[in-house]
Amino acid sequence: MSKDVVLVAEGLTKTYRLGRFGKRETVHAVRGVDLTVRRGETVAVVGESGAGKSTVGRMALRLVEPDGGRVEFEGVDVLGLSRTELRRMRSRMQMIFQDPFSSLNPTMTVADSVGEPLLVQGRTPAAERHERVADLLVRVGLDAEFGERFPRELSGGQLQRVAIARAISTSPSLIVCDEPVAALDLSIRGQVLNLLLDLQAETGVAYLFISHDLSVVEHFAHRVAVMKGGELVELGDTRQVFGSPRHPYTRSLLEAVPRIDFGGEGAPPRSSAPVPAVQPR
Amino acid sequence: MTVTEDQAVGVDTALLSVRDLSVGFRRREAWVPILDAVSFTVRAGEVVGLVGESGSGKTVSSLTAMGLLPRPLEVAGGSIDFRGRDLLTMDPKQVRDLRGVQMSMIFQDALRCLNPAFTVGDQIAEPLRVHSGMSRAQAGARAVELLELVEIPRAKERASSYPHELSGGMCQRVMIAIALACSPRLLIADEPTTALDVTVQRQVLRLLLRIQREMDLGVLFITHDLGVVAEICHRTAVMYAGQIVEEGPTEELFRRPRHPYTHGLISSIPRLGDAGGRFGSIAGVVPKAGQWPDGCRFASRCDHVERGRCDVGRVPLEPTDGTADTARTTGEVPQRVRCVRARELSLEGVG
Repeated sequence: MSKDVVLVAEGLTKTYRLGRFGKRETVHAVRGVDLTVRRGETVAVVGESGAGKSTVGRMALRLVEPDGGRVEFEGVDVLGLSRTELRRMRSRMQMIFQDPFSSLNPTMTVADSVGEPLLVQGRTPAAERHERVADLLVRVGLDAEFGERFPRELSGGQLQRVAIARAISTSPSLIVCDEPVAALDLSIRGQVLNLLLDLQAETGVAYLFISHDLSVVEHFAHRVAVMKGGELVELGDTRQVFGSPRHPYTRSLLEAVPRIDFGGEGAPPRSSAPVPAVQPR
Repeated sequence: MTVTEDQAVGVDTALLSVRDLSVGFRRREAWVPILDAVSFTVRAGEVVGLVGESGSGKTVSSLTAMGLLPRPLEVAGGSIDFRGRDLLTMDPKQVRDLRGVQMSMIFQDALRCLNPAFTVGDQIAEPLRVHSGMSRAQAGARAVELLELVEIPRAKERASSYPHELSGGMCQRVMIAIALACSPRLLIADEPTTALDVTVQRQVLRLLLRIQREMDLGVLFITHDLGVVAEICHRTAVMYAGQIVEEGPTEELFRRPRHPYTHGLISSIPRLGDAGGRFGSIAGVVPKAGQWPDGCRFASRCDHVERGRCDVGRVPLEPTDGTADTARTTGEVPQRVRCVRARELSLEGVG
């Protein structure tokens, strides 16, 4: 495995058993997915609900145990690791979730949440840790005094910044971002995405970016993997996938995105002169 | 040419006409406003978009219009005219007779709005039996027709399905069928496609537009998705911190936004086709209800703020240059903006 590769997933498979009372059914949530993420690279996994994109992200970090396949992280076979070894490895791989309200502990201060990974890692003395937490908060665009607040006192965008501060605290080489801006308002979304871009430029962290929002992905990712029904249907450079999609499913996804191009082709007819012809009385 | 005159034009052809609506709640001794003098109009055959971010007041506006305002929210002033009658002064029983018959509503989470214990056919038949006095058999047959109207395949079989047996898109179609059962004049749609996948969203929007045209429905479409607004709404009103800050014909609003907030929102949309680069965004956070500043509520986040002008008094919602006169001749509602610097600013739009 070459040095500039962070994550290699081969033949990732996850099946669930459904049904009771004798009617058993096996459902393939993910089937035979191959993915590579290089250092400093953003690979997006896109698809509709139930396509298996979150499961892929979780299996990459071994938060969900795959039923088949192989995961190699920085040259180490992740599936072969013991619990202790895995825990040590985890500081190099982090995750950011969609809903920061439920992913942060409501009873802990922001500073405690951000410092927790360092505490668990156990290598940073307390004094240094406090300093580092303050630095991290400033780094993600929050005042250091935010550290004393509780999650309920913060807005969604601010909380997502806290979640990012926590994720980068241990200087990971890979962050799995599962719909990190889907719950945020449009005007705030750009702030958080720009922060992720800046952090990547600065630290060379790689992102596995799971999203259903194709317009965000087009701006954000270097490469795109399109999933449908648990399988990878298309994988390639963002420009190529968006510019000349090969798979019909990718094409139908792209066509379905609402567009702001007045008078363009394909958009449903829309009259700029409304039709108040009928008097409703 | 005064504002009152062109408002009168709007009211004349209006299906729903909300005027100076103020809503809020009492916290200890203090009054916390949620809506501040919100006015908008929906005419027959017209799709009006109400956009804004979370907490801007778009959902409260629609719930008030339906007479569904939850406690502890109260109406502090204004009027809601529906086909010439003020819903706020009407007997609650009469409002109930209108609701679901002449005006109905669909919501974001269709599966949660349906009763899991009844078949979808029964749930579509219910308003027909309650409001139109149909017999069980008549209502059942009409329910199947309505399922066909919302393009559900094998409608007859589907009528005896339970909500959990249907996908999210199908559930939303069932909700639309229920809403349309009594042939309403006005449909309020609150983020009806937000929870759906893009390909399903596309189908549901197409369906809504088809039915809207066939039935000449007035639709108030509430969403945070500007892409959806651009595709389906004739007119759009943008809300910020409990006020409408800009309204006008959708295309005009996107091509030439007059309010810096509208401009900021438009610049925040990553568009398919222009890859790479940084994302547009608006600095800062939305002020919370009860902490709205004097003057323009967007001032603290605005790039064009001018101290002494933007942060004092009350900024009115005024017709933009030229549009008031055109509006008078065409009977069109003029483009309006709530910004003291609107005339000086030249903000870039789409295209």
